[in-house]
Order: sequence, then structure tokens, then C-alpha cells
Amino acid sequence: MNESELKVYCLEHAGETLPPEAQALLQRDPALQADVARLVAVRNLISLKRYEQPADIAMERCLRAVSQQIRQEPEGWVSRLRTWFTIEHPALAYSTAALALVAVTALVFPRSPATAPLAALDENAPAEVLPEPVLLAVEESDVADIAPTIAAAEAAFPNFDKPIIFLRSESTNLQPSVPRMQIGPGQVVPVNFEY
Amino acid sequence: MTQREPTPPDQAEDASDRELVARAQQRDAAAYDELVRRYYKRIYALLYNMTSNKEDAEDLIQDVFVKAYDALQRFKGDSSFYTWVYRIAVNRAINYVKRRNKRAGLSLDDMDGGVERDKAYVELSSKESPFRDATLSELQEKLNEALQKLSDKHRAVVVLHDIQGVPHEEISKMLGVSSGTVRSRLFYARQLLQSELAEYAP
Repeated sequence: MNESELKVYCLEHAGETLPPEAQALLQRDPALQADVARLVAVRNLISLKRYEQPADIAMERCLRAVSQQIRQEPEGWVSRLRTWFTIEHPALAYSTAALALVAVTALVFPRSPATAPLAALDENAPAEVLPEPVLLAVEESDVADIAPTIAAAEAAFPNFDKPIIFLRSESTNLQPSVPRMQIGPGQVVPVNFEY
Repeated sequence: MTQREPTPPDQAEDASDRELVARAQQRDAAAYDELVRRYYKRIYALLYNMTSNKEDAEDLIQDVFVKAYDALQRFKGDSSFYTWVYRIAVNRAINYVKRRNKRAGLSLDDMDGGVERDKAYVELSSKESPFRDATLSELQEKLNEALQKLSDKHRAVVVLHDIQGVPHEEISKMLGVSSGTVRSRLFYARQLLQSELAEYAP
């Protein structure tokens, strides 16, 4: 080893027993001695590093958890695949799980009737006829009663260019399960009545 | 003087490990439990010093032992079980630290006791230096911070060699690098730590 290599050797072996040639170099080089002394001091300082004690029951908890997992662990490719997924590629595992969840949700919960489009309604189905006649005209005496409703509707639809028809029917306490209203031949629309 | 912990196993322990490993490879769960008990503290200390966080170390250690069990069938006994399981633990800790967000939280009350009687500690604290006035808690906090500033591979060699007392040759097997690389990493890491800890080790 040349002198430069010997210096590196002394530094990398700081605090250890050195061969004679390295010791000789160290003795005649005060700067190297100081460097080595500093490295030894750092090593001594680091050796004082301690760790926080685990919780008293931590080891038993760990044993239980490990035991549980290894006893459940099926052998063969399933086990290896699981390890590969959960330990080596957790991000891929999460993505796959999310995708599976979406697929299952789509299969198990198809669109509910509430979200189905109106076109899904059978237009040929006979409309459920309301037991009370629908009043298509407002009598003069009722104008005052429905005035607040008209004002609210106009405020809600200021630019609505079609007539808004107000229907009023006396309550019969007979609430049709699927309320519909027929306007003209063949036109059936769902409606919502509030009693 | 505080016993440095953990220390590598002796020959008798190693032979006993081999027997337990052989039984565990035959799916003897009790034998594996014994191996877990035997290495729990050592692996925990390694993981703690790699992560500087108690909760992380406790979570990670389960993962290490489960993974080791999964891989046990592939363990051929070329090295000791201790070297092999340490290798798994170091790799898991490095991967984990890369992924996690740094968590603070050092419960100094739980710190391993007895360091006040450590020869190095007594010598350092008796010198005329700023270290004399530093409390043990401050020192531990400072050491934790300094270690976390090292890269994973440099922290690994410092923890294994300077804190856990693992010989260079064993570290080289654990990390899959040459002994010379271990020494040069150690030298580089100590230089960095020297600047970080200048007030304690001028």
C-alpha cells in the first residue's frame, strides 16, 4: 500500500489494531492521529445510542399475530402470490382491491329504479287513474289560496317559457304506489303528490 | 457497565438455531415461536434504530417474522439463521423507511436504562466538554436525529456495527456487499455523524 492508501486504511480501521506499517504512519502524522481520534470519539458516542423498550406485551402480541398468520397461511402459489402482493407490491394490491370493489358494486347493485331513466317506464302500461277528478282550471275563489304557490313557482323558474299547470285534488288518503298522470292519449308521466 | 445489546449469537446458540430452523421448516409452529422469542429483542432494537420510532418498530417486526416464515423453506443454511433473518429485517426496514412519512415521537421515558453507567458515557461526561452538561435524553434525541440524516445504507452499517456490535464480515453477508464496502460506508457515515454531533464529539 502506498501512503495515501495507508491513510485511508487507518481511517477505515479507526480504533482497531493496525498493522506495523499503518501504525508507523499514524505515529509520524499528527493530522492523521487527530482524524482517527475524532472518528473513534464519534464511534464511542454512537455506541451510547439506546432504543425505546417495546411495550411489555409487545412480544406476546407479536407472537400471537405471527402465529395466527402463519397458521392461516395456505401453502403453495397462493401464499407466494399473497406475499408478493402484500409485502412487495402493496400499491398494486390496493389498486386491484379498489378495482374489484368497483366491479362487485356494479354487479351486485345495478341501477336502482330511482336512478333509471324515464324511458324505462312502460308507456303502454295503463295509467293509474286517480280516484278524484283533476281540476284543470282554477276557480276564481281559489286564486287567493294558491297565490303564494304561483309566486314561488315564478320565482323558481323566471325564464320558463311553458305554462305551469297547478293541479289540486282533495285528499283521498289513497296514495297510489307508483303515481302517474295521463295527459292526452298515450302520454304518461310520473308525478309526485303531496297530501 | 451496560451490556451492549444485542450481541451476535455464540456457536452454541447457532447450533440450537439450526435445530429449531429444521423443525420450523417442517411446519413446527412451536419451534418457530421459539426462534421469534430468541430474536425478538435483537430484531426490535435493529428496527427501532433504523426507524427511530417505537410504533414503527413494533409494526415492522411482525411483518419481518411472517416474511421470514414464508421464506424459511428457501433457507438452505448457508449462513446462520441470525444473519439471514437480520438481512430480511434490514431490507424490510429500508423499504419501510423509504415509504413512510417521517413520524415524530420519541418516548424518552421508555429508553433502555443503564446507559448512565456505560464506560463511554462516563468518560465523555467527565471531560471538560459541552457534552458534560447534556442530559441523556438530549443525547438520545440528538443521536436519533443524526442517524435519520444518514442514507439508508449508511444508517444500516452504523446501526449494525457501532450500535449492535455486528462484525464487518457478518454485515457484509447481511447486506450482500464486500467487507471493504462495509468499512468504507462506515467511515463515510462516521464522518457525516461527526459534523452532526460536533458539539458532543469535537
